[in-house]
Amino acid sequence: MSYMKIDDVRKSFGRYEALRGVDIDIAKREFVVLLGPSGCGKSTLLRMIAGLESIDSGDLMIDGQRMNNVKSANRGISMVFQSYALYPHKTVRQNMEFGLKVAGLKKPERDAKIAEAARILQLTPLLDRLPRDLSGGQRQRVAIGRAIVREPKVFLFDEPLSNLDAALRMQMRVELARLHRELQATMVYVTHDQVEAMTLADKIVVMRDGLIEQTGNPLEIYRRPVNTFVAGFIGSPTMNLLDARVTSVSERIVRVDAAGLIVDAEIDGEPPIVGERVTLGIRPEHLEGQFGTGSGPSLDVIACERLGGVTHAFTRFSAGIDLTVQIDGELPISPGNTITCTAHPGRAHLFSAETGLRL
Amino acid sequence: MARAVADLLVLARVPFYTKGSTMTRPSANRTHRASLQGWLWVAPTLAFLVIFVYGPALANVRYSLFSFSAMSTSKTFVGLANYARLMADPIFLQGLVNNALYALISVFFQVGVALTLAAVLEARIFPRFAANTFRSALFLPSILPVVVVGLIWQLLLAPAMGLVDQALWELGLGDWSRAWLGDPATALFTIIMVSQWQWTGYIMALFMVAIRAIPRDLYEAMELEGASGPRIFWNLTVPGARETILIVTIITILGSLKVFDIVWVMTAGGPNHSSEVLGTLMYRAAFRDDVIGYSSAIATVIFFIALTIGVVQIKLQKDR
Repeated sequence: MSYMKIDDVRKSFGRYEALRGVDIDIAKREFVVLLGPSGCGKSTLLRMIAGLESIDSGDLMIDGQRMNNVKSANRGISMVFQSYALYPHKTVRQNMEFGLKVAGLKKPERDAKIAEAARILQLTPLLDRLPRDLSGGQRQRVAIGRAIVREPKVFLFDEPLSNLDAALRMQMRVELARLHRELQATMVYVTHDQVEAMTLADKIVVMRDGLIEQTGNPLEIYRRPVNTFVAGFIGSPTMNLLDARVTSVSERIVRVDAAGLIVDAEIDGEPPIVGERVTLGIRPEHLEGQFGTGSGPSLDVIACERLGGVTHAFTRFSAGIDLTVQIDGELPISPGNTITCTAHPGRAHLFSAETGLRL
Repeated sequence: MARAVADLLVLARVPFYTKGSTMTRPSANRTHRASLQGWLWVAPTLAFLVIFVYGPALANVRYSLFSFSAMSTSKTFVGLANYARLMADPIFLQGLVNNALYALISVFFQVGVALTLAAVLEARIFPRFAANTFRSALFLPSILPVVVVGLIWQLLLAPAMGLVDQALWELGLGDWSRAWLGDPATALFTIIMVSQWQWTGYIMALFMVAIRAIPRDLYEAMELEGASGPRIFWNLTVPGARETILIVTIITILGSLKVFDIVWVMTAGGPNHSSEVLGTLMYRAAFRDDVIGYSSAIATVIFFIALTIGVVQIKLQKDR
């Protein structure tokens, strides 16, 4: 039984269709991340859940109640904005108090809720400060605090970490995960950052052009992307997608040849026929690169990104095809070197060359 | 016109200097040269101000201590006699009260009403075309010259044949009909209302700019928390437009203090001085009665009231 249900929801702005029929089931206490590139409709969907945009067609149900025409304030949601949207002339306390005042709560009740939220978010010493005197991370916490005190059924987050620097973003990710555990709350979170999605989500909804491409838990999406778009969107560095030809098929194992790189891949569906063109997907971390002549094709290293533990080598085949390989950070590799590589068994993906769908 | 320029300057927030120069630790010589260069740049403006603004203002204070006519070759020093006469002049006191009323009512309309109108038009309550039409209609009077506005309203308000009276009769409100500008009880308020008709839309446009500068997210956040329109107005629009409110209030008060043209065109201060303001009083003293010293005393009083208000404004702005 889903706690929140989005059923064939659509939205157009003039002639532009922002959402073209979206279905999502969200269980109670689930952390759902809407993930996709800019313009995919994820923020529009969140704003429709919040009631900031009307729903053209379809249903939005929260806790068994149809919310399409319910005012934002009565939907039982709280939203954390990308800009935080803190009231600039109100102190931290007043920011958190405003919604409670509107709801008509008495002062002792308000104070208790604010004290509790401030404790959870370590905001107690900041309660009498104005937003402009706070750091980015502190403002973020106040925005979350303002959402918490209202005790919503569902929390909505609109790219809440995108204005923070990398270190703070990581810290807040951990914080959000802890908060989700502590509050046992249902959360819908919009981001274009796949790391946030992978680390925070119970369920990821990958969107593109107003449609859902895939829904599933993070590892499922990483391990079994349903098409080349999801395959390319999840994972960093992005998955290599190569034109390949089927050389042999035995039961579920298909052997393909991509310009000399021979890979065995397991498939779920109808096996392709020998000689058919397919798209081979293989992640940089599932390729083994080494110096010297190996069994695979030789690759010219064009650029290297040294991350310390590992190095991402951007290489080019003799045939002019680009391939990213993740190699051991200890290997003294540099642009101009030639390496060979082999694929880890069982980690390759095959997609139809025409439709891009997983085979 | 002067008012429009002043408003533009206020809106553009013309900086007088820039903090934090990009030069770090310039040599003494360079600093000196830069400073000299700076003075050279401002010299023409400074000279203009001294010759045409500060000089005459100071001269005016001096003139107020003399008794003389524009034609006389000598001036008689009378000390503060002009001021003593002023304080004893019931028409001057009437003018002072009228200016105060003018300011009070103008602030109510041009700050209170204009801000409310701006908030309503920006709240997307009306469809876009309707909001745009309202805005244009309300703004339009401000582009007309004051004298034209005065004359048009004189015609509209003319007893019996004016459109206003005819409309009142048609609406069955014939009892309300009166000589709006000829009745001492209504003359001043009629002028004030014409002035509001002309300027409220203009100030509203300034407020719309101020409201648009408030991030949309904040309005949405309040909406999500269930705040009503008036609550959002008091908790977000008013504090968000605080600076503009302050500036408009000051401009409106100063404008009311200096008002002359519309009053001169519509009633010239009459009937029986009921719509007299300091501006008309000063003008009449100088150019009809030819008591230049007395007129200068009135001008000096206006100057010092304006100065006080200006100082208060600067103080308030520094406090924030």
